[in-house]
Amino acid sequence: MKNRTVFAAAFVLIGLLVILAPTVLFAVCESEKKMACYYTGKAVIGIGILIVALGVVYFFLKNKGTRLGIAIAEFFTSGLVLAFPLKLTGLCKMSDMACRVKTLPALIVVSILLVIVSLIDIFFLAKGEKSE
Amino acid sequence: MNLQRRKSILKDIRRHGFFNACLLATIVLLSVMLLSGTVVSTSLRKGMKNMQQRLGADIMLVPKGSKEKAENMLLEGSRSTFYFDDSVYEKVESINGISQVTSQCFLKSLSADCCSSEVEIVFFDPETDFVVAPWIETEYKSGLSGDAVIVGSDISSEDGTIKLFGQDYPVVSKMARTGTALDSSVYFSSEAKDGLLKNAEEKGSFLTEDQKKSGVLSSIFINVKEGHAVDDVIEDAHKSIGDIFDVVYPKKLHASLAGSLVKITGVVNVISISLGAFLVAILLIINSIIMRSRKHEVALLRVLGHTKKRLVGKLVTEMGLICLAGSFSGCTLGALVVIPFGRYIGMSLNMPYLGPGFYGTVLTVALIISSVFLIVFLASIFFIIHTTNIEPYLALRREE
Amino acid sequence: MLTAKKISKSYTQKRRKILDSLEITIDEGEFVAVMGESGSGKSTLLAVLAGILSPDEGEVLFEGEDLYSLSDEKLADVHRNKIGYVPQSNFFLKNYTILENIVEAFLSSKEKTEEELTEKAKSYLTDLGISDLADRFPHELSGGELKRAAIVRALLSSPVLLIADEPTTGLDSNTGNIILSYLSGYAKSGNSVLVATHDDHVKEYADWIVDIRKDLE
Repeated sequence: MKNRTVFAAAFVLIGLLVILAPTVLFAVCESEKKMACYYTGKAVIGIGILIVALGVVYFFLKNKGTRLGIAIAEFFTSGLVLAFPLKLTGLCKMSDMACRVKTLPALIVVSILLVIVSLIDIFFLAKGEKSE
Repeated sequence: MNLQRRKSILKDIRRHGFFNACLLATIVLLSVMLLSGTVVSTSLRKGMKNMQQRLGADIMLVPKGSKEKAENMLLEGSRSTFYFDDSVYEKVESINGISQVTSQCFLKSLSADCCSSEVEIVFFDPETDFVVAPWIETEYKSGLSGDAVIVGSDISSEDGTIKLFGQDYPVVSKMARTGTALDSSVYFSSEAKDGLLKNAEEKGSFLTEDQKKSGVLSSIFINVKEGHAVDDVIEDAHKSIGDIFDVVYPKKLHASLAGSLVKITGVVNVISISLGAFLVAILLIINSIIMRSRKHEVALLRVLGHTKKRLVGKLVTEMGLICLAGSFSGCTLGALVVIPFGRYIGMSLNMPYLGPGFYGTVLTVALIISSVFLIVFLASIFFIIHTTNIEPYLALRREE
Repeated sequence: MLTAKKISKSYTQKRRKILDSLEITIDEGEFVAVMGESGSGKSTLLAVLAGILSPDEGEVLFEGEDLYSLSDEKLADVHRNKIGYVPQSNFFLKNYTILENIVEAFLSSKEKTEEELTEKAKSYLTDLGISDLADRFPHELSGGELKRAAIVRALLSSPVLLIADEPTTGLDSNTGNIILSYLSGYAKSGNSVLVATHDDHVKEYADWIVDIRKDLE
């Protein structure tokens, strides 16, 4: 129960950070023209909502095998957090734009945190499954 | 170490879970603080040194009203454009007391194109230049002529060319890293300007009227002859070309920044030392509490035939594992903040900031982990040795 | 086997001596009980004789060697193989089972394998009637059960001299008798046993009784 709560809370918190990073905390470039970073911000909000939703579902699941599946899903979702700014939708090309200086580093940090948390969870759940 | 011993050590660490967690948290904080402080200070100093090497001119003349833009450009390489007529160059050339003079012209994409264009373009005169040349990392023998380009360190040119306005330009050399937006700039000979502008217009790039003009300059860099006063040269320039320029003193700029750097690193050091001392005090208190709570256990093990040396080894090993976990986690957390956000830190402080490369980071992390080990060892060894030296019966008796 | 000569001990310089020029000899195979009021120095005497509390004066000769002149390694070797000590308090590590508590302390010596130590411990636990508690945790055991487990822990080194401080204090008379009977049997097998106790039942088992105030001062 304790582990389930801790990891669920961690996933929800990280999901919220993913949503807040491009919008509030380290906002993308402000401009009348909708640039690449604007669309990236929107896409990343969607991924953040997914991470939060998976975290909430995780909390209510008692079965370790299913929770392991969600942890694996969170692990791969962390890759999406970076895929959008780096490859799929992109950011402004110039290196001193806000999206490159602030938003991208924030997304890198949050996705690394998600990787670490999901890997730790996968380790504990897999160990638990093995012993059963 | 066999599996049984490892399990036993982990069990012993868990048995004092709360205090060991406090110890771990303290070590994590200490590591975060040491790593962040070290990386930020080192990067600021590196950026300053780098800037000092870059700012090789005594005077920089820029169009009137452009002084602040020019200073920002020198400091952090932020993009700006400002122009005056290139006829001023010949007049400046003939002023007495000048040993070297060269000019540059900047072409910046407007904000609407910041998404599609990744470079700022600088036109310079290779024959008179003394500002760009020292900064070129790889030698080029042929000389910069025609459409040849030198690129900033962040620009990749895998096939030896770079595409600008739909056309490929051959890359002959690369600039060393500055840690500013100059790393994403490209340098053309002044000869190439007209051709490039024409190409840009044909491809539909938006250019201002100033940018379209062929006879404009952005800045004139001057080195003053020895024995001549800088102020005299400036006065003569005013007389020669009128009051149409501002003066930037690159070397003075560096000096004033150096003063700011001393203040910033001074503040960082004061905070680090105060916080560090506080954390070390916490370490001492926690170690004292942990060892006090383990007196009975240590005494019993001695009664059962453990030597003092073995017990010290066991306790030091447990401490070492906690320290390793804590310092590694702390350094990771610290690195997660200062490395990706390096550019942001520099821009916020308005200082040049040259972050460590991969090997520099690894070396810094290794150094911090070693330092934390030493600090934690010194903060615990007295208590460990004291506890193992207590007469076993006295320790057992106190627990009764 | 063990001879203590002119042992004196006080805990602080200003206080009176707890032990004052005491002399005692324990031979092989003897079961000796030290009796006296609380604060008379029974536990202190046992600790000095066990080599875990250095006296202010005097020497404790065990098999011809002064325990307090030995190096730390040699003294540890004596404790690991020759002298077993059962303290008054029942201290066990809370997140280890009883069996793990007993065996763990001896694993590092590498003189015996874990299997050998486990087998031996289980055998002693059976002898003392608590074999079914081997996989329980300390908080699940009663005082009497913990005391028996502590005795097994001291016995694991097969000591030639077993010293037990108040082994039956706070226990019911039945449990007390089980323990004293076992200790008596251990002495009869050629080893020496020294206990400190208030329990008068020990007179039925001990070869000789020492009244610490009357006999040793």
